[in-house]
Amino acid sequence: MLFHKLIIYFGTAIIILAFFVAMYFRKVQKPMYFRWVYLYIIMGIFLSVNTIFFIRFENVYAKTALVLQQVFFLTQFLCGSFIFLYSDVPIIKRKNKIIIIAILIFLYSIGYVLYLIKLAPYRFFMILLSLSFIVYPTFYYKNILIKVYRIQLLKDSLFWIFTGFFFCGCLSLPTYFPIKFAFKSIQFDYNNMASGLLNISLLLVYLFVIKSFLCLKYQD
Amino acid sequence: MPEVSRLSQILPFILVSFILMLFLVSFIVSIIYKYQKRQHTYFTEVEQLKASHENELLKSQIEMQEQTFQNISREIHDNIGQKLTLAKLHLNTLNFNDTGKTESQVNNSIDIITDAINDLSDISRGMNSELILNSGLIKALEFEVAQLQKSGQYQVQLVVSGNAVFLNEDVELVLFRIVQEVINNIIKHAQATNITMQLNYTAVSLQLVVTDNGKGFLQTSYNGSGLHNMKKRTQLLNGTFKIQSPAMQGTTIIIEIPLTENN
Repeated sequence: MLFHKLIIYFGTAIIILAFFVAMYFRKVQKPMYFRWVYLYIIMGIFLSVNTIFFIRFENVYAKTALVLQQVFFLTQFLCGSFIFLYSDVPIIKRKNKIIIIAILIFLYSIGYVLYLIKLAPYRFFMILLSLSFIVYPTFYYKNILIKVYRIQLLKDSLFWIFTGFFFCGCLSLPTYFPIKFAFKSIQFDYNNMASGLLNISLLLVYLFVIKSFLCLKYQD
Repeated sequence: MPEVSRLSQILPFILVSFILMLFLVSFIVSIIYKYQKRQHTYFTEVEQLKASHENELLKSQIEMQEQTFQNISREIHDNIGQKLTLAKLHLNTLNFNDTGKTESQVNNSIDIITDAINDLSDISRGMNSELILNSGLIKALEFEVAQLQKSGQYQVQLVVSGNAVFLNEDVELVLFRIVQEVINNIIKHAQATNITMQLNYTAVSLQLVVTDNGKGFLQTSYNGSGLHNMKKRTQLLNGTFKIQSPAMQGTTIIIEIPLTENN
């Protein structure tokens, strides 16, 4: 549990650092999608505060924490979708981007409704969140491997943002699947591992977001 | 015991995270590697294309220079040489006993030599790229029009529309040489009396249209290198070269070059 708490506090520090870096670059001319990155960071701060409150006052705050967590995750999902929508990924038309986002929102809503009426577990709609964070970067990677030649990948903000999302999606997705049965034979707390991995995945996004802001130094 | 238990709790977690991270990092590194490899291939191709384009441009400049020498040589041989020979003939046959005739012959010789000097000056100005480099394409074409009108054989018009812009010096020179070649062809083959030159500037392109009312020609039966050279030079400027020449209805040559790449 201590290890788990450490990850949360360290993650909070990283998100706050990302916030300060974002503030430092607030006057630099940026692509349109960065406004959603700002919202993503603010939501990250709320999410962190919510989680810290949860581990401090677990007994009285648990229900509220869970609802707020869903709201923050949903907002982050929307931020990711808008970043994808406004990003320069020409292999997929804007109309198709909207269709993909609409499908994911639709599935997300179904998952949430099913969860509310207790027909599906909480993780069901969280899987969609992770999936979206894998789908969007996949299109971006496909795009850079087919169409783009001129950008310097390691100095491209969008590359780092999508890489952050991709890490987050890939690391968090397994935690929602019922693979804990595989660990039944060895005595170990699967839930703790899953939430630890989830928190690390979220932390990584913000590290990559910081890098994406730093890339603004190289833009023309 | 609690120490061992805690370690057994954390160890699988660290192991799973490490494997997942390793997999993801390898994936991203492979994407970066593939992208950079592709980018390197692309830039190598671009460099090769650029080098080949520069070679073509150089070749074209040498061809233009060669053609200029030929024009000078022809002008000197057919025009100035003839005039100077005639003047020499007049001066050689001077009879100082017949003052009236001598005076007339000397005056004739002076006129012929003056003509020859003017012709030399015109040739020099026509061939000199300084005029284009300093004054721009429009001024150079105006000079060309004035030269043609001076011959008294052609009605020549120059129409400029749109907002004229200065192009790259090399580009203007190539365009001017193409127009000179077109005019030479009209003089030599077209039997035209009317020539119109149009320069249409738009936001993205420059269209150069040269029209004559000559006899036209069948493009299929033409196998000279002049047209081919003009086409090649236009292509060097990433432009298009079109000829419309219906029989006995004159010829129109349309050259269009993009301004963004040549400006």
